[in-house]
Amino acid sequence: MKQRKLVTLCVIAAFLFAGTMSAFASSEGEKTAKKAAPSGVHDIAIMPFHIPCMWFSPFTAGGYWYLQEKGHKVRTQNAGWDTKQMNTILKTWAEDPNLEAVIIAPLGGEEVLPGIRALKQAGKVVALSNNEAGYCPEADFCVRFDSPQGCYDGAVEVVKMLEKKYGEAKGVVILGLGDVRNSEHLERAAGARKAFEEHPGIKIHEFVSDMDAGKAVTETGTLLRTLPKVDAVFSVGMLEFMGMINALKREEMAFPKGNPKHIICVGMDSCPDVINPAVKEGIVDFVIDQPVLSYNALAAYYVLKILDEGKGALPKPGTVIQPGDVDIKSKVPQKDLDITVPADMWAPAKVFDTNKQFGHIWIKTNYSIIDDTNVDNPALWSNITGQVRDYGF
Amino acid sequence: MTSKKLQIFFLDNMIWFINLVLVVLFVAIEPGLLTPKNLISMIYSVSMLGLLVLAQAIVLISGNFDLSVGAIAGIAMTVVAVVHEFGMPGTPWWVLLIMMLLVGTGIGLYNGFFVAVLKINPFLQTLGTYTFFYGLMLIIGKRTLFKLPKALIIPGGARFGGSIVPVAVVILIVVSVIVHILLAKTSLGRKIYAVGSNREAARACGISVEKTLIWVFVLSGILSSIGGLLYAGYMNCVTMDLARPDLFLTFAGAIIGGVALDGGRGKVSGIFGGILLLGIMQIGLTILKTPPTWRETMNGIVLIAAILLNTYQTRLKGYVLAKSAT
Amino acid sequence: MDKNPQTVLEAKGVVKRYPGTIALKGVDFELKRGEVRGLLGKNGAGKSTLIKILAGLTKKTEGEIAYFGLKADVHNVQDSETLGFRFISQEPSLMEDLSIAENIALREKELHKGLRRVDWKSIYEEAEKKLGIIGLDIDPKIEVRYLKVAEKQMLLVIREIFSEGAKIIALDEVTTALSLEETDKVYDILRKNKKGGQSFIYVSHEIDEIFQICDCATVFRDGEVVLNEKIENLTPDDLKKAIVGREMQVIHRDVSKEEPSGKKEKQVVLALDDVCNAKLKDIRFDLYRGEILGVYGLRGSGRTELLKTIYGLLPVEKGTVVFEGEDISHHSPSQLIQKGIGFVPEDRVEGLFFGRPTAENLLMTTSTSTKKVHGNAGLFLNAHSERKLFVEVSKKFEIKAHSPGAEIDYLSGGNKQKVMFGRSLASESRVYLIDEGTKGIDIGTKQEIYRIMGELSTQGCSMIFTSSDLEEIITVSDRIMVMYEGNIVCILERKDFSKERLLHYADSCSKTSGNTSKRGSDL
Repeated sequence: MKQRKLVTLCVIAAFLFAGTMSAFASSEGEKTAKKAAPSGVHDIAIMPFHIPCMWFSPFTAGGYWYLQEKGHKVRTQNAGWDTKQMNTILKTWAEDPNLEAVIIAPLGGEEVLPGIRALKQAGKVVALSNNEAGYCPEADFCVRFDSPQGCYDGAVEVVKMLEKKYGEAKGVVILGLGDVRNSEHLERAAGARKAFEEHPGIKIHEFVSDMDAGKAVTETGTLLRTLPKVDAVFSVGMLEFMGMINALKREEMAFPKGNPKHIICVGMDSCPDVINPAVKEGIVDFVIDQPVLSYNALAAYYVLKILDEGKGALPKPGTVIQPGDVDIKSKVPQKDLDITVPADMWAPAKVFDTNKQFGHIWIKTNYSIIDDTNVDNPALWSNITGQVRDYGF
Repeated sequence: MTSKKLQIFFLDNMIWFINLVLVVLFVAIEPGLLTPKNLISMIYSVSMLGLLVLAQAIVLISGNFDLSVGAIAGIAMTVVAVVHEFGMPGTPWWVLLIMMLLVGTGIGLYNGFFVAVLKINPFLQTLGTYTFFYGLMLIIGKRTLFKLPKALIIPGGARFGGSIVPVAVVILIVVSVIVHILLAKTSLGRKIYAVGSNREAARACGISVEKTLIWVFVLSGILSSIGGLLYAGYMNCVTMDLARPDLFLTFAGAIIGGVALDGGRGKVSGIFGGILLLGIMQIGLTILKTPPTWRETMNGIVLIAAILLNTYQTRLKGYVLAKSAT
Repeated sequence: MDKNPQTVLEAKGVVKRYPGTIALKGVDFELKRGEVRGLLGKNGAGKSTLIKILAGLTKKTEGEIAYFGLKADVHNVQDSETLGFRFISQEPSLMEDLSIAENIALREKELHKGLRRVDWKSIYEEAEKKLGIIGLDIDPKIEVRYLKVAEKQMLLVIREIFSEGAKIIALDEVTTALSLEETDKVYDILRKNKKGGQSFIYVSHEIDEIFQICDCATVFRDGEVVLNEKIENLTPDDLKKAIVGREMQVIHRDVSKEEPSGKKEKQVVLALDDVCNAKLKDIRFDLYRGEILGVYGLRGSGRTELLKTIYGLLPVEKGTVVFEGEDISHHSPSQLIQKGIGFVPEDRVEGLFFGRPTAENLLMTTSTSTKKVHGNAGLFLNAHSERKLFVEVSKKFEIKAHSPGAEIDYLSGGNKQKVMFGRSLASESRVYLIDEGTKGIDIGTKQEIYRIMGELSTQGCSMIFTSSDLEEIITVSDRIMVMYEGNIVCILERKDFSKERLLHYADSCSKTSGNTSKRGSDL
C-alpha cells in the first residue's frame, strides 16, 4: 500500500522531469529546423528588463518584432530584477557560437559589465539600449534619450504653470521617486529636483515608491491628506505616476484642467491604462514620453549594420538621424492586429561622442510631450501596445 | 548485499543522480552548446549563491532559520565599498577583507545572541536583521557602488591565469570542504547536528545549546559575508539589493540538497548537489532558449520534483533497510 | 440500533502488536449499559492500549470489536465519536486560545456543517448551563489558557460527558489533578448519568476510587485481563494482588547481590545533602560504589527531577551534591560527563537524535564533552578511535544496527534504548542515572540490560535506577528509595523488599496521612 504510494510519487516526479524536458525538446526542434536558414541571417539576443512588466515588455518588443520581420533569429531571456542573473545569462550567451550580437536593456551598463566583457571577448557586437548610468567601453554604442534632461524640462514646465497661477514661482510639489537603489532613477530625480530647487518659493515633498504602484498610492494619498495644500504632483517613472493618479482619484482631488481645484499633475512615461485615460480626462497636464518601441528597433538596425558592414557603419558624432534615414518600421505580429510600429516618434536623433564619459557613442533620441491634444494618436507606443495581448516571447 | 549497499548509496546521493540526469538531458537536446566553459559556469553562476546556501544550511541543520544571509552579504560589501571609496581611500585590501569578515561575524553574533540567549524566534529575529540591514545599506551606500579594490574583485570575478577555471568556483569548493570538515569531523559540527535534531536530548548530553546556536549564527554570518565578496566580484559592483532576489533560493538549494527544514539532517555533499542543481537550471534554461515567460515555471517544476524525490528518500531508505533485514 | 440493549461494547480477542513487543494478547472486554467499569493495571499492562484502540487513536492488529452489538472497524477518532465513544485523557486537550464556551461548542456537530452563522448567544448560554452543573462560576468568554489545571480537567469532563450522542465515556485518571471536592462532583455526574444510560470506563491507579465509584473492575497485566469481577465480590487486597501478579516473573540479575554490600566498608560515591529545588524537598541519601539504587514512585513523585538535578539539568537551590569528595552542585552536565556521570533519559523521543547516524547517537556525549575521541588538535574528531569505540560498545550491548552510519530512526525500540544506555558507557561513566531504562522494550532486551547493569556494578559502577515496574525494581535494585511529591518516603534495604510494601509506601503515603491532606496539598 505504502510502497505503491511511493512508486506513484516517483512516477509523478519522473513525469515532471520528462514533461519539462520534452517541452524543451519540442521548442528546440523548431529552432533546429530553422537553422538551415540562408546566409545573411543573423542571430541576435535581447537582454530585457523584467519581462512581464507593462513598460519593459514593449521595450523589448520593438527590437524583437523588427528583427523577426527582417527574417533574423532573435531570442530573449528573463532575469527579473536580478543583476546577478543578468550577468549569468549574458555570460552564457557569450558561449553560444551562433550568437552574433546582444542588445542589452537593463538599467545601468556598469552593473552588467562582467557579462558585457564576456560577450566582447567572445567577439559579439554589444549595444546598450537604455538609460545607462555608467562607463562601459565594451559596448559599441547606446541608444537612449536624456532622461535627467527630460525630467528637468518637465519640471521647468510645472514651474511655469505655478508662476502663471500665483504670479510667482511658489507652491507645494509632491515628487514621486522610483527605486532609490537604481542609478537611473536617482538621476531622473536629481533632474526634477534641480528645476524646482532653482525657485526657493517651491516646497518639495518626496516619497519613494520602490517601483511599486500600490506603495505610490499609499504614499501620495498620505501626503495629499496631511499637507494643507498641494499645487502639483510630479513623478519620475511610470509606476509612481500610476500610483499618483490613483491616489488623486481616491482622495477625490482629481479635477480636470481649468477647474480651480485642479492639481497640476505631470510625470514621466505614458501607459495605456490609468495614465492615458487620465490625460484624456484632463487630470494629467502632460506626460514626458519616451519612444519605447523604437529604442531596441533603432539599436537592432545599427547592430545589423555593424554585422554586415563593420563598425565603420555607425553614424559619426554630430550626425542627425531623420526618420527617412533608417527604416525601422515593423508590423505587430499578432494575427488580428494590423498595426505598424511607426518610425518617427524618436526622431530626430542626434549622435554624440561620449567616449570619454561612457566609453562609446550615444545615439540620443527625442522624447515627446503628450497631453489631451495628442493622447489618441495611434502611433503612440502606449496606444499600440494597449492592443497587444501576446508579445511573442 | 552489494545491491543493497548500491541502493542505499543511490538514495543517499540522489541529488547527484538528478543532476546527472539533467545534464545528460541538456546535452542530448543541445549537444553543441555544452562547452567546458558552459559546464563550469553551471557552478560559477551559483558559486556566490552557494556560499549563502551553505550559510543557510548550517542554520537549518541547527533547527533555525536565517533570513538575513543576503543582508549580511550586502551590508558587509557595502561597508567595504564605502570605506574604499569615501571613508578611507587607500585602505589596503586585506584590511577591507578583515573588515568584511568582522561585519559578518558581528551580525552573526547579534543574531545568535538574540536567538539563543534572549530566545527570540529565529524567523522574526532574522527578518528584523534582513529588513534593517538592507535599509542601512541604502543609507550608507546610497546607490550602486562601482569602485572596489581590484584585489576584492578577483575572488568573484577573475579566472585562474588564462585557464577557464573561475576563482569563485575554487573558493566555493574549498569553503564547502571546510564546512564539510566542520560539520562532520569536529565536535562543534556534532553539536550543531545534535541541537538541530533534538534540543532536549542535546541538553541531556551535556551540550550547551546556547553556545552552539551562537556559533551557528556566527558561522552563517562569516559565510554570508564571503558570499557577498563573490557577488560583488561577479557583478563588478555592489548593488543595494545585493543577493536580495536569492533569499528563497538559499532555502531551495539547502532543502533540495537534503537538509531538513526542522533541523538535524543534511550533509555538505548533498548541499553542494543542491547548489549545482540551481546552477544547472540557470544555465540550462538559457542555453535551451526557454521562452522567458516559462523560465520561472520550469524552475519551479524541477524544484518541486527534486524536493519530492528528496523528501521521500528517507522513507525509501527505510524500506530498503527493512527489506534487507528480513 | 440497540440489538442487545444491555451490552454496549464488546471486544473479542483483541491483539495489538508493536514492533518487538505485544501490548495486548487477545483481550476480551464487555461493557454494559449504565455501568461504571474500573480499569486497573500497572503502566504498560495494556489498559491504555485498549482504550486507544476503542477510541480510534490506534489500530488493533487482530480481534473484533462491536459497538452496540454491531461490528465496527474504527479507523480514527471521528469514527468512534460517531458511534458514541468519548475519551477523556489525563492531559486536557483543549484549545488554549479559545474561550471556554468555544471549547465546549467545538463538540457540537452543528458547528461543523459547512458555513453557518454562529449563534453566539446560544453557545454562551449552553456553556453557562454546563459550567453550572459543576458549580464553576467563570465567565465562559474567558480563554481556556487562564484556567487552573483542575478547572481545565473539569471542563473536559463535562464537555465530553454532556456532548451530543455520548454513550460510552472512557476517563483516564482524570481525578489525579482534582481536589476532593471536585472529585466528588465528578462522581456525582457519573452516578447520575449512568442512570441515564451512559456507560463509563474508569481508569485509575487508586484502588480506593475504584471501590467508591465503579460497579465492576477489570485488571490488566502484561497485556492480558487477569481479573474481571463485580466490585461487591472484591476486596482491595484482591485487586492489589491481581495488579502486581501472584507469581514473580523470572527476571534475574546475574550477579550475586551479596558481594558489593558484603564488603567490609561501603565507599560513598555520590552524596546528596538537603538538596532542594522547585520539585525536590530535602533530599538526602548516599550512593555507594557498585550499588544499584532503585527509585520508586508514582508519576510526579519527583524521581525524574531527582536525576535531572544531580545531572545539572535542574538547578540545586539549596544543599550540596558531592561526587567522590567534590562538590558538584553547580556543575554543568558537560562537566559532569567528564567526571564520569552518565544520564539515560526516560523517553527515547527525548533522548535520541533522529535523522542522525547510530554511531553519532551512541557517541554524542563522548564526542562533545570528553577528550576520548578527539585527535591531537582537540577540535577534530578521530574517526578511527570513534569507530573502535562504537564497535566496542555496540558489541557489549549487542546493538543491532545496520551500520554505524545508518540513521537511528531505522533501529528497533530495544536497540534504540540500548544506544541511549551505551552513550553513558562510551563516556566511561562511573555513576549512571537511569530514568525508566526499560520502558516499552521487550522482555529479552530487558534481560540484556539487566545483565549489563549487573556487570557494570561488579566493575564498581553505581547506578540510580527509576522504574514504574515493581517487579523490575525489586529484582534489579540493591536498595529501593520510595519518593512521594519530591520527598523521600523511605529507603528500603534488600531484605525488606516486597511489592505490597512498595505499593503501600508509594501511594499509601496519601492514604496513611489521610486522603484529605493529599487532596488539600494539591494546589
